[in-house]
Amino acid sequence: MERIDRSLPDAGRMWRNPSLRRLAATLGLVLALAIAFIVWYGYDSAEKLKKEWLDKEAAALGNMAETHPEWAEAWLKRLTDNKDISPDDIAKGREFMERYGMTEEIAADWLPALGEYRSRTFWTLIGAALLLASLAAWLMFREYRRQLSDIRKLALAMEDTVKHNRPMSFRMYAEGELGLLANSAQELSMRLRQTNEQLQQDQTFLKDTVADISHQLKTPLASLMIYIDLLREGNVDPEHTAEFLETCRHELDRMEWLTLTMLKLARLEANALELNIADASLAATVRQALNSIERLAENKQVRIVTDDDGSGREWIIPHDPHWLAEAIGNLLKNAVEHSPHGGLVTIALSTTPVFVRLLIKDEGSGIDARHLPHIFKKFYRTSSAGSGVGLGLPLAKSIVEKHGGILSAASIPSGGSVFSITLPHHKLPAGANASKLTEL
Amino acid sequence: MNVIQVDGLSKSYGTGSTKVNALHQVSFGVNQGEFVAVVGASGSGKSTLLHMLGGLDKPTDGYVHIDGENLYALKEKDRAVFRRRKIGFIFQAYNLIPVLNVEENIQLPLLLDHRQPDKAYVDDLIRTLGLHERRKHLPSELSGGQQQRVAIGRALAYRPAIVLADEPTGNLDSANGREVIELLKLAVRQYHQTVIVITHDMNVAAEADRVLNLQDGMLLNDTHSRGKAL
Repeated sequence: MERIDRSLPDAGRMWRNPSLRRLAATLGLVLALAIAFIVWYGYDSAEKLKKEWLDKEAAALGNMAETHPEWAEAWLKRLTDNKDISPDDIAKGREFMERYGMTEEIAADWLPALGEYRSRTFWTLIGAALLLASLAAWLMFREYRRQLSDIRKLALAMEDTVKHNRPMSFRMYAEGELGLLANSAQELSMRLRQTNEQLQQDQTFLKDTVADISHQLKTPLASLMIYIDLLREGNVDPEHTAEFLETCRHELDRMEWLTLTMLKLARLEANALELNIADASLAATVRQALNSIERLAENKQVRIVTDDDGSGREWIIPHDPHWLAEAIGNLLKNAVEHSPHGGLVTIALSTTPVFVRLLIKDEGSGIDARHLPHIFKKFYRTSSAGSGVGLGLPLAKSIVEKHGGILSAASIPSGGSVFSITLPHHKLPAGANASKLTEL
Repeated sequence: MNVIQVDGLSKSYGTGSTKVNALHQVSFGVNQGEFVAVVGASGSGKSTLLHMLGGLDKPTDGYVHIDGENLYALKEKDRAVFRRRKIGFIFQAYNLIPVLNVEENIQLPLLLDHRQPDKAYVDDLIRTLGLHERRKHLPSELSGGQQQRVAIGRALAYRPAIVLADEPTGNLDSANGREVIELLKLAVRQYHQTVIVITHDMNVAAEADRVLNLQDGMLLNDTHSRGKAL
């Protein structure tokens, strides 16, 4: 199974989380607001300070102009004179100011413009910081609530799934870690349902199998009982006795075959049996199947030829020779039974990069399109022809599918039918059916 | 439960006198594990239907529910993620990434979802597809049949619930085409996947559990060609 990347999320992977992106956007927004505010405030407070300073100068100048107009003019010239300020001038001025107590230690409140500026800046900045912080807090709160509510919804949906076996009502197809979690949870719920369905199917299968077996055994058992009762009563002549015993023997043989085949099929279908799949010669397996069918073919004068590209290859492919021979044998039996007297059955082997194909062709009457969809069902019989009870083909199909292959049937337009076993060179890896879940 | 449920799906292009109804009121449901063939003449709306099922194109009217999810109620971005996780695509022209080798092409859907591909599984898959010796080759170094098998591998890597195939055998000879169909059939069985194949090859349609016949954008008939064999 593929798995979620185990390494700790790096920056790129973190960035796939929508919540992280929204968080980054929030931070960006707050930062932008802060910068905008700083620009605005810096400009605005400089303007205000300038205005207040000018007012103060204007008032001083106004006073001065009334008493000493020539001083005022000189003062104004000094003010607008942007010539460099010499340290010497500063030192002289400071000395003069200090005589009146205007030192650097003086409280800013004593200078009205400065005092106002200070308190205004203080309160505006605090207010702005609070506002921005609460905006950021609100946005983050919203983001967290969104994420927590997704997690909560996921938890509720999972609880619902576990308790009521309902499909997950909350789905999420987002990128990022939460999306992966939601996806895994959904996968889990689906597997749970599949397992439940499988359990139910198994139960139905068991019930059907038991019903099938008892149904198939009831009729021969009843007739056996009648024959034995007749023989026990003793008023049967020796000629009939021999005939009855022969019939009993025949019925018992049939019952034995039926029970054995049913058991095989049941074990295969219930997965109670592990095939021993390993590289082996398919040609040898075909020969083994041929042996089992030899007598029947001889009786019907049916010739069976193997066409393997004339290469005489052994066709090494992973399979369980014992069981696959059983499947091929059943198909051959079916082909021989449906062949006309003296007919020909062809076994053809071929290979592609992915599959090995084994075709079994007969010269019978083919399969009616009506029957084609059903011939692999248990106890389905197209006609009274053939000795089978309709278990050979389902058994063959089951075996081939256990090999990870396909068994299909078709009518040949020119007459006869063809069964094809398609086996992969390499079995498709186990998937959803296996008990393994996607590892987290 | 129907894994795919389509209700009153319609798609038209253009307006007024130039309006073309590519699909008209198509409704059907598909069970999990079904192998469905969609047949019809060219221009019957087959490909349009497949695009709607895959969430590639918005319908004019109607709904597509996949795994109980209303595909077109999802946001575009979520739909893309949904598609990546739930749907595998196989196209007539293979659509492999030319600069990635076989192995990388197959693992692509996993890598896109930031998942670590399971080496053993991918390796097994590549062997099954008969591509083991070519796993380091680029698509341009492969035959058509091999390229299509890579595309199948890519569609199976995530084992999505649904595989949509648009004329997967269209560019292949009959032997390679048969192989592709058989691989899809195996996937249906092994992974309980649902496969929808668009085809005009009747041999392909004959292999399906069910055949949907489209004509002029309408569902002409829906044939279950074979009973569910045990």
